Amino acid sequence: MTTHPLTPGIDRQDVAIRLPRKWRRLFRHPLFWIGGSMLALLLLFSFLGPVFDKAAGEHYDMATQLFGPSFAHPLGTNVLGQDELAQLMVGGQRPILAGFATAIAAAIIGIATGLVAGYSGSVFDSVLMRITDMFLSIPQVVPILLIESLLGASTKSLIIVVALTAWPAAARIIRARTLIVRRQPFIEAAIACGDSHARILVHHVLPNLLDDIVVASTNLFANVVLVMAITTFIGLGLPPPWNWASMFAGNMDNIVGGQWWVVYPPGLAFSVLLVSVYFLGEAVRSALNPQESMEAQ
Amino acid sequence: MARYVARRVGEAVFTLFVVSVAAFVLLKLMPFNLAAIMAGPRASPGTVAQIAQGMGLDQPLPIQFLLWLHQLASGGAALAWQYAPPSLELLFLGSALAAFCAFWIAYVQAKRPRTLFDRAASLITFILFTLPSFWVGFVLIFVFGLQLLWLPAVGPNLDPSSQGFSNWIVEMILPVVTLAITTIATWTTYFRGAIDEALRSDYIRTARAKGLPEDRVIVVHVLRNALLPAITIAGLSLPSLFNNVIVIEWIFAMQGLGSALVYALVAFNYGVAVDLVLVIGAVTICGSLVADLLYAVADPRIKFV
Repeated sequence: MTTHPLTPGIDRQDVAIRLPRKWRRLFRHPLFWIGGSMLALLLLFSFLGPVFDKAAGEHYDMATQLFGPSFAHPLGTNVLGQDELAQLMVGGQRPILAGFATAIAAAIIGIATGLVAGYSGSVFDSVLMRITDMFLSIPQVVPILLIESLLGASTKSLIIVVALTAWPAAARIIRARTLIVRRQPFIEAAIACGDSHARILVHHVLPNLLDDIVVASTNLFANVVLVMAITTFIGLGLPPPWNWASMFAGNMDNIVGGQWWVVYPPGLAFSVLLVSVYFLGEAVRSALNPQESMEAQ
Repeated sequence: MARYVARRVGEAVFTLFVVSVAAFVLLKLMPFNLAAIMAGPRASPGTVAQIAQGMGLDQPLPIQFLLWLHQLASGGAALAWQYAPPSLELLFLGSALAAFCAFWIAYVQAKRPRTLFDRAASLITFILFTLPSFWVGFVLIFVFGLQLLWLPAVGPNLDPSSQGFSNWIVEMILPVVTLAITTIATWTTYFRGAIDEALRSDYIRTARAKGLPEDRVIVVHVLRNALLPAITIAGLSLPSLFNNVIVIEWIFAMQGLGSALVYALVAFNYGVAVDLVLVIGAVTICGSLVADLLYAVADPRIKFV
């Protein structure tokens, strides 16, 4: 036990293992725990649940069509007599994975574009912003449906197409904030010190935009998950086997009333996914920038 | 002002041109022969070539593009436009309902921040925002159309039983409510900011100090000033609203632009699909243009150049 000479009584190791303030703020945030546990449970449900019985979702039986919840089928059966719970577990895997992959890809494109446009200014900025305006002025689902119909729907092409249509919203936010940060005195100081533009962008501009990047990315995640769900529901999104959107679409036409177990779970699953990611995003944002903490929510 | 209008109109026309070129190029990039599909699987190569020639598919691409524009101008666009009224009605009524609800929710929230209503309203509108629109639409059909039997399960369509204004109103309720639900959270957030700002401003204090009744303060001063940014928000959210219009028309079996596009794409009828894409692009681009121009007219504080 060595104590520091200037601060008697405080254990040195004790000080050393304390987490940085941002991490402590994050771990104290209730939304971090609520959102984190929701997402963890959802991931366990989707990826660990099916391990116990791999074929459960595929096994169909015409004798048990649209049966209500029972001990054998806790969430009932769908129109083909397949177990709704098992389908719900496996059906979450691709929307979740494709959602994260697409959101990350779109965020990288959007953040890079917004940073470069806002920092460089001039003609480059106007051209990039004209392009984002064009993307933002037509409904995103239209080009996705058109391209997916032409290429034939596949998970890979859907991820690429959705990412390529989703990034402009993020680019606009990041560009607007970059314009503000660029005018700060410390950027001038960095230029005076002879830092390169790339270094200024990465070391001085980017760290000041982290909270906006988190907000833009969570919004992108919600956007891409819902847009993918819409296109999949229509039949031109994620290809078979089933997922949350397509299992809902498959049952829809055969419901005559009362079969709530095939109606409610898939949509609520999307909501749980998006709410948990939003809560996590809000916790991270508020840990990065505690001044503008959003109330309620 | 005139220069601003000219610039915005020019931008809109240019955007529409880029959209049409993009749609056309996409169509030409597709990995199969349109003429062969039109001719059917058992057609002879001669017939396919004949059809290709009739459609102008043997011409160079720029000529084909001009041929397509000509076809649009001489009736193609008008045919596609037939599908516009149901979409526009849904879009307009849905946004109006969303704006009305969002304004009052945001107003009560701004007046009584940090109360139970404030927090509950934020949470509920947020959860509604995270639900897929097709799911919300189908749950409404399921509950009100199939279980309670209060409202029809399909939207207005060409069915003979579906004619007449009273039928139209009743059948429009569920699609409109579905569209409103998907957008209410976003608009409440925007309205809340605008109302917060208006409530804190000097002219509201003046209005109250000179003894105006509270409802007059709200309608004349708060509402008018909060509606200004709402015009911009409405213009900006038009394309994302249309994402939901497409799928809502599809679920409620309405004959609108969105469901027509889906039918055309599922049937690989790309000739009709690109026309519809262009009309949809024209609708949202013109919507944003109108919103921008309205904003310039409505807010005399801003001088556009």
